[in-house]
Amino acid sequence: MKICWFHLMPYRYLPNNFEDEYRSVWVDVPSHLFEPSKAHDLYNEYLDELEFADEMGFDGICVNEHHNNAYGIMPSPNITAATLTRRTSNAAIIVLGNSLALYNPPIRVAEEFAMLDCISGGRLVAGFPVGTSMDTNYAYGVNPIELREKYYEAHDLVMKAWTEPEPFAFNGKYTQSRYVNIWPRPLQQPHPPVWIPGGGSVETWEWTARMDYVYCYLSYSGYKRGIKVMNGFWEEMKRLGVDDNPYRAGFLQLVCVAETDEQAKELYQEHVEYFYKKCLHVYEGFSEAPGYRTIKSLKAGLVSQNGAAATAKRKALTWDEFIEEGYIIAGSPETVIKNLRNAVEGLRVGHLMTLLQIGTMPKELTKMNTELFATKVKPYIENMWDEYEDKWWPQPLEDRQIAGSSVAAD
Amino acid sequence: MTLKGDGLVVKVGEIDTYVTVKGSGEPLVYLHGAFGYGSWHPFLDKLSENFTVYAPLHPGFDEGEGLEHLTDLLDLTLYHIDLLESLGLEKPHVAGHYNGAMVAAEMAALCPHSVGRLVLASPAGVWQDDNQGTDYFAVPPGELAKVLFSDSSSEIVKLAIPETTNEQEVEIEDIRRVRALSTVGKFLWPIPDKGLRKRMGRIKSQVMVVMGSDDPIVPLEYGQDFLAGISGSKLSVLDGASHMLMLEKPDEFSSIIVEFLSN
Repeated sequence: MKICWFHLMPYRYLPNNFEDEYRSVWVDVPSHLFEPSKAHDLYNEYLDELEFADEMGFDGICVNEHHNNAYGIMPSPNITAATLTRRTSNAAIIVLGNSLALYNPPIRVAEEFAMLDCISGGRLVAGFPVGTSMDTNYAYGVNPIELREKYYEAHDLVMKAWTEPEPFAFNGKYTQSRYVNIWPRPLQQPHPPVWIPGGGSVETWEWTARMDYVYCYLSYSGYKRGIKVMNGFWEEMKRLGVDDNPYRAGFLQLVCVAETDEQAKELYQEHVEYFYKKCLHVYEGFSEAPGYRTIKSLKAGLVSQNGAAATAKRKALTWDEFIEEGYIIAGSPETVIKNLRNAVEGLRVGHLMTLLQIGTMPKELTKMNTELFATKVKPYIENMWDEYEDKWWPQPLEDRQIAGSSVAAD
Repeated sequence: MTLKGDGLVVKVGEIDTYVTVKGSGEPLVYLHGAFGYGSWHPFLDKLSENFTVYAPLHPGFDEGEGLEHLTDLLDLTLYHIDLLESLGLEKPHVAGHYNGAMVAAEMAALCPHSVGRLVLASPAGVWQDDNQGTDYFAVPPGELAKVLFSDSSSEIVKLAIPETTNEQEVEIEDIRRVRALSTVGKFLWPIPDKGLRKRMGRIKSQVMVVMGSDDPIVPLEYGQDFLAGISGSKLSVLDGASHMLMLEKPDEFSSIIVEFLSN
C-alpha cells in the first residue's frame, strides 16, 4: 500500500465564537479574520511539516486547491508543490490538484505540471478535481451547468498538450488556441499518473474507469460512510468490467496517534473539534449551486457532504463519536493499526492519504503525530495489497537533484 | 407537472416546446421567470379575458427538454424569436417575468420588428455594484419564500413553492427547483448583467416595466436603468409587493397590463 501525507493548510486562528458569529468558513469568510503575519508562520511551518513527512519516509506528500477558504489557504497548490520539488528527495509530489475549469487557459496546467515533473525528476502525480461548488461556482464564478463540460474539455486539452508531439490547434468551446505546443514537456512518459479527487458522483466513477485513472474519495465524513461510497465505486467497476486492483482508489483519513488511547484524546481533541466545528462550517447556500450536481447524481441520492444536515451532524459529535463513526482514527499505535487495517480493507484503497495535521494542531504535535505514525503504524500496514501492482505511481529518474546538489556548483 | 388550460407542442428548431394557449383577443406571449412557472395562475386567467395568452414552458424547466441546444444568450433570444414564428404570431405583445422579461427585452433589441408592446415584470438584465440585490442562487431552499414574497407565511407561497409532506415529494421538488435554477443560471450566472444595457436602446416597442417595491432580487432602483435606457418606457410600482408580484397582487398586476396594451 502507498501511504501519503496530506496537508490542507488550515488557518489556525479563527475566533472561538467563529461559527456563531459568521455564516461560512468558505466563500464569504471575512478578510479581517486573516492576519498575513500569522500566515507567514503558517505557510513556513506547513512546508516544514510536508518536508518532514518526506524525511519520515511517507511514500507521497499531498497538496490541494481551495479558494476563499479559511480551512485551506492554498489557492495555488503548484506554488507549494514547487518548493517541495527542491527541498524533498524521495516522496512523490501529489498535487490533488489543479481544478481544471479554473485555469485560463488550461494549457497553463499542462505547462506548470510539466515544470513540476521536470524539476522533481519525475515525482509528480497530476490530480484533476472538478472542484467544489464553493470554489468553482461561488468563488470563481464558473457556471454550474457548464462546469463539468468545461472541466472535461480542459482535461482533453491538457492530455493532448502532453502527448501530441507536434504543435496543434485547439478549437474548443471554452478555449481556442491556434498553436498549442508546451515547452517544457513532462518528464514521465507518456504523462504523469493522473488521479481524480471526487466527492462521490456517479459520472466521475465511470469516466475515471474509462480513462484508467485513480479515483480518490476525499471525504470528511469518515471511513464508515466512505466504505458505503466505495462499495458503490467497486460495484460500478465490476459493472464496467474493470479489475478490482485497490491501487485504482485513494482515500483521505484523519489520524491521531499517541502513546495511549486516553492520551490521544487529551492531545488531539481540541484540534479535531476546531476542524469539525469551524473548518467545515460552510453556509448551506454555498454548498451546492443549482446545476453543480447532475440530475442523475441527485436522483441517486448521493447527499452533498457540505449540506446542512452533514455539517450540523459533524458539529455535534463527541470525541468518542468521532472515533465510533470513523471520522477519525485515534489512539495508541495498536488501536490505530487495527482500525486503519479495517478501514483500508473495507474501502479497498491502495493509496491511503493520512491527514496528520488537523485543525489547530501546532507544529510540534504534528511532527510527533507524523513520527509516531511513521515508526509505529506505517511499518505494520504498508505491506497491504502487496500482491497487486501500482500502475498509477510516479516513475522518477534514478539520479535526481534537489536544491544545492547541482554538479555545476558555484 | 401539467399546465392547466389548452396545451400544444410546437417545434422550434430542435426543441419541442410546450405552450399553453388560452383566451381570446390579440395575442400576448407570457415568458415565465425562475419561480412560480408550473401552473396557470389567476393573473393569467385575468389576462386571458382580454388576450389570447400563449405561455410557453422554457426548455430546461420541468419536462421541457432541449436546453442543450441553447448555448448562450444569443441562442436563447433567437429561439424565442423563432418560437413566435412557429406559433404563427406576428408582432405579438410579449410580457415576461425576471429572466423571461430579460429575454423579451433582448428579442426586442435584437429584432425590433418581431414584437409588439413589452411588459417587463421584475426584469433581470442590469446590475448596480452599490445595490446588488439578493443572490437567490445562494439562498438555502428553506429560505426562498422570504426572498420571493412579502409575507412568507401566506397561502400564496404555495403557488411558487409547493408544500411537501414526505421525502419523495421533497426530492421531486428539489429536482424541479434545481432544473429551473440551473436553467436560469445557464444564462444569468453569476451576475445577471449580460450586455442588455448596451442593447436596450435599440428597442422600438412601447415598454412598461412593472416592479414590486420590496423585491430583494431586483431592487426597485433597477427600474430607473430601464426607464433611462428605453425611450418612451414607463414604470409601474406595486407597493408592498415582492418578487412574485403577480401572485401577490394578481388583479392590480393584470389591470396594469391590460390597460397598457389596450391603449
